[in-house]
Amino acid sequence: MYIGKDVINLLDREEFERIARENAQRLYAHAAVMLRSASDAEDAAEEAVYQLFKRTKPFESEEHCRAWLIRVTVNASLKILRRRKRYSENGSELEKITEQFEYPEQSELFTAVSELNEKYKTVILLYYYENMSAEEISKLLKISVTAVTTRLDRARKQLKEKLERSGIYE
Amino acid sequence: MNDFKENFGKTMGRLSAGRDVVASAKIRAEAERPQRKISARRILCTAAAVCGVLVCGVTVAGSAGLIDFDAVFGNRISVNDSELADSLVGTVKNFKYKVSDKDYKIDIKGVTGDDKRVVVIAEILRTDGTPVIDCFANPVSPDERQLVTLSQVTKVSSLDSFGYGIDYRIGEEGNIKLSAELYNVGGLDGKKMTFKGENFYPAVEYNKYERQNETDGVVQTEYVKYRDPVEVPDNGGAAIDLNDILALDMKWEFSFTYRQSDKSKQVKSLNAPEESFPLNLKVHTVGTKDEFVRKLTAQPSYMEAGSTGGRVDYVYKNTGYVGNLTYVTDVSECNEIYIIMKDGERVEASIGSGCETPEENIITCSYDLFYWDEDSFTSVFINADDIAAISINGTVYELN
Repeated sequence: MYIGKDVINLLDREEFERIARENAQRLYAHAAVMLRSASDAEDAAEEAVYQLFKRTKPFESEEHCRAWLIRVTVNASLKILRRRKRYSENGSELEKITEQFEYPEQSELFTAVSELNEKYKTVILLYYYENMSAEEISKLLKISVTAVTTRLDRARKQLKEKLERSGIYE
Repeated sequence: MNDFKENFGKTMGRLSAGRDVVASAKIRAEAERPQRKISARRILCTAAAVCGVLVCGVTVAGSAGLIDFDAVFGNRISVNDSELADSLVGTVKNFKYKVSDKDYKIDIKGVTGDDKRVVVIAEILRTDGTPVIDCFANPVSPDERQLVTLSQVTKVSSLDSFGYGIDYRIGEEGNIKLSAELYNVGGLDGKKMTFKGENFYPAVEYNKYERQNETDGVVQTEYVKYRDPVEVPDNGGAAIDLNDILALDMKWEFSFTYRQSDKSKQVKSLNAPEESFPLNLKVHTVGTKDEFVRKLTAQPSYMEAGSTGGRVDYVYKNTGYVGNLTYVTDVSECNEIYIIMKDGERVEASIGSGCETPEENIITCSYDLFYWDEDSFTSVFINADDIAAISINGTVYELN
């Protein structure tokens, strides 16, 4: 067999699968906001996990792995967005997402965030959902901390207006 | 925004994918994962000398049944060559290629698709019949050939409203198989698109980096780096210069024009079978956290089997619940479904299911039927002529 022992150690597939299982829901939810399409979100989440399984380089920590998975999911989502940039949105695909919510307010909230510009919803997701700091986001997105805070500020303002209009927050 | 954070977290926590993305990703990765160590030094290719330019025209045309590939490419599964002969619906034109070694050639194997999606399959070979991949990594056995994955730079002409995808993999014989997919929500009849690919690289980690314009977020530049995943350098993985690892200097391109076949899908069907089967149904009541499982009896209403597998529709009456409910069927635990071939072989069907929104207390659901071949890692599609019956929970439904 050609595979060296050291290579096996770098490829702990069971560990990768455990991490994938633990993060799959988050990755899908992340992509769902980005893409507003259930099947596209599944594709993006699958792509991230697929890249994980293909990866042959070890991670420094689980946090490193999680951040890497998010980055790959963001990239996969952006790639899908670029590919379908001129497509009209498929309402039934969005419905498949919103029908999972327990309360109408959750659907309103999801819709408000997902309607934001790509760069704004990305920082909202990372900051409020992934609990990442502005500095961590700047490293992940390869943009400056100032750019992150500026985007966050603008995103919050837009969100506030949307949610006030829908009556969720007053 | 504290409320927002909490509510947003709860909202996001409600979402879950309809399919097991980890399982499907694993299958893809298992099919492609390089398990052998590939040294960058071993795969240095001889520099491209004088490029022989070979230009040839290949026209593939024909007609056959329409095939719905939504499920197939949604799972990123390649089609089999055997399917292509029966599903030619387009015309490939202007096919040409240029390689650093005149002993290579590309064959267009076929075109297939439906009214919104078309796929062109091509294969890269050596004219003397020796495996292409031997030039890349000098594998010592046929098994090792399959472990070499490839990357390639591909460009597709930009047209409005089109989506596309390029897939490439090593076949068992050691040649490169390409599939180029084009998708258009508005239909493809009469549309034309050109694919251009260049430079195949053997398996090393592939990263694409993006630089964004701070003003509007538009991607300004993209570039690729290659890293040897096994021999991680001391600096943590500095990029290897692309030119250092070129394995096959090749450019290929073709355009195709799609024309829609007017023939319909070959289908066998059975209407209104008498037997019914049990069905587990998870019922969620909207607005509460209630979730409970009901065992109901489903009545098959229609079955069909065609070149993409088949489908079973079934209905059941919603008795005992009124109001705004959502349902999730879980067919995997309570039903065994087999496709029974004419030669007696029983093929276990993979199942995708979905239900339509309740209407007048009657819910219509369906199974999708196809089967997964573990050896080839592909979905296998079935000629309807070869199917004798479908079995659900031991009850055999003959098809006519």
